[in-house]
Amino acid sequence: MLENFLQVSLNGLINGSTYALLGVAFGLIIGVTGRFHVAFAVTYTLAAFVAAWLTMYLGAPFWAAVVAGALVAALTGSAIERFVYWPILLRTGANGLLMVFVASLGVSIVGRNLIALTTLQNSATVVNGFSNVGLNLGPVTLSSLNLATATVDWLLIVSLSQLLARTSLGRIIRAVRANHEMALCVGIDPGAVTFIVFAIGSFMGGAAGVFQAALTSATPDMGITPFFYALVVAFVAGLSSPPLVVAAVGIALGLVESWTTLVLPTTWTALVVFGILFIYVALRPLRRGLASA
Amino acid sequence: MNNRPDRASGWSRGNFLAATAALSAAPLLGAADNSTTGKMQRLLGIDPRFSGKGQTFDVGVLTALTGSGAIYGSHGTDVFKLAARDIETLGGPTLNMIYKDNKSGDPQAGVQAMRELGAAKVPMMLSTYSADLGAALPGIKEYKVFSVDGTGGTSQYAMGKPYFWGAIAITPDDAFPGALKYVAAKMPQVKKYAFVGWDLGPLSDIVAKDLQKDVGTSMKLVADERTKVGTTDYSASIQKVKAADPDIIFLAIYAEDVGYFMKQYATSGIDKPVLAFAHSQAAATIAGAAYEGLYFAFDYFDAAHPGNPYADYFVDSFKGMEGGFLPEFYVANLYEDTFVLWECIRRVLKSGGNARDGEQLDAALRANPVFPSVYGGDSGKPGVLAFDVDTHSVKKRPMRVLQFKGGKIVTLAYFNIDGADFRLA
Repeated sequence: MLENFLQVSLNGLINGSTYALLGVAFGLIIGVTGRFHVAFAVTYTLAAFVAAWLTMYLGAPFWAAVVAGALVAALTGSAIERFVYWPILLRTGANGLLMVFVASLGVSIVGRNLIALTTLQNSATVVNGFSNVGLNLGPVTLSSLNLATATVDWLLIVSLSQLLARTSLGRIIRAVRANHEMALCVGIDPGAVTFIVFAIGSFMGGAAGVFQAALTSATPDMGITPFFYALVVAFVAGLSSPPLVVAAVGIALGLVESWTTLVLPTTWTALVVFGILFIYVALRPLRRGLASA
Repeated sequence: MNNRPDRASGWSRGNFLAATAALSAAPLLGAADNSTTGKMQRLLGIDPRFSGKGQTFDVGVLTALTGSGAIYGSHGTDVFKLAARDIETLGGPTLNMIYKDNKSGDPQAGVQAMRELGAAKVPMMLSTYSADLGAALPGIKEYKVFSVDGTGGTSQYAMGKPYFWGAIAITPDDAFPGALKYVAAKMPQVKKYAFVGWDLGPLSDIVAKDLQKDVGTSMKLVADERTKVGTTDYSASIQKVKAADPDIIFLAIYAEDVGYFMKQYATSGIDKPVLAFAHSQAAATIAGAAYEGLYFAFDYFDAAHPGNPYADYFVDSFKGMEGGFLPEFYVANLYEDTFVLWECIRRVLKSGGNARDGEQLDAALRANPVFPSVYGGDSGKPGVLAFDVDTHSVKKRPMRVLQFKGGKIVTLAYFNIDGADFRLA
């Protein structure tokens, strides 16, 4: 019984680490720029396919493919900001965020279909090159790929946390997140910061996509569910929260989701995740009301 | 073995003998032509007077053009085109394929597709996803669209539905008895089993109950785990199975999902045998080394050793189109289904009827529900695809127990529907 609980908890921690990375990456983008970046799903998917193609057709080493996939995601995310969102906001001004959301939705649909068209004839697209073995840790078992995934997740989260807390770039990013206009007044170029934030967030999301493809396979639809997880984690944690707080929410979500399977069928886990978001959204005004009373 | 209607009726000994006689008499037709085309014409008993040559027939194709199953839809449309080309080469009509997207199982798409095909008065259809998981069945009935589904079959819910025929063994139900005979023969230590299956609502309960009935008292169910179709994370399901400590796991999930499951199962710390009811190259690619040792029980198409001249013709044709790649059972069925439609067209033309009428095509199948098959047979004659006119599913279908061993599929046993004719390899 205890062994089962420990294994389920470990599974929750592993999945939660990925939710944490996704939440931190998406939360950084929407928290700093205000863009509801639905196309986050496309950059996540593209990274997975790039890594898979590199390992399948060019025989690239696994870790090189991870970096290359994440870099392509970073470039694509920045390009979407520069060539889609930025021009829209220049034309529409303060009311442009809704237009950006619609455009992002469009980019995600077009991107997903372009990937599907490109990959339709392939039997299965997988990221090769990682020797995955089971690791027995006392009463629980863990795969080496899961261990690598969680390690990279936390390496990226902690790195971002340190970047934001200890570097001048981090201070600039936090300044734009806190007050866009004030940052402009003190000589910060919010356009450049937005560009960098998209690159960082997309890189992190892309890395998560590559590991997911290594665990399963790369498919054109693979970005949709992780996007919703990222959304839930980022919103529940709060859009101005530091990365480690967001990550803690991701871990909590993974654990709750996993523990749910101890008492409910596994098909109900998604209901639990989105139930948490619903309760949060429903109770938030109430909490504000109590605070102001 | 289960609660489905008896399939014995409607496929009489007389029908079978008549079909066998027809297949045997085929060499009498077109005796002079020894080309591959001529041999196939004789093999399939094609009478040039009623082959439909020079005519064009509309054929609806309801398949996954978008969504998670689009890769199968893409391969399927290639094979439908190949079959149509081969039919024309063999002196048949032009089949004008009208493709409709079921969006990988979206019921609304199926309903809309039937409305469009009905409005266009399309008399026949090749379908997948068991006519969009049932949503297209009312439209098939309303518009009298003679339909053959070779990838999902009738399943349980579409048995006996008007104008709809399943040209594949019902999975996993039809394979259970043969699989269990193999387990009893070769794995006597197995006393407890876990069932992991797609969550298809009430249908999943029927499948699980069928398995339990077939198992009887020989084994005890210790875990019944349902998973969402298309899910990729099986960690929770595998943990539940692990906690139940079964001796064997029956895996009623399909397509790539088998690969995802095995990839995670291999590092889960369980070493009990897993028996699945489908194999695909995509699943094998996804799982990689984790696929090793996996057992299967289903109507496997052995493209490396086709075993009959009709299958040889199909494999050669497919390899020509796909640059040497071998076909899997999924596309073999789609190819065969297209030829079933053509044979029904020929039968109606021969009787002087209207082959653009779905009702007459359906009657042609009912009158003699036996067709040549790429499955079974021997080096001299094709196998037999026989439908049951009550259930509309297949009455006979050669199946196998197999194992993925050393990177290859190895046959361990042969059997037919309900475990008939079981023998170890």
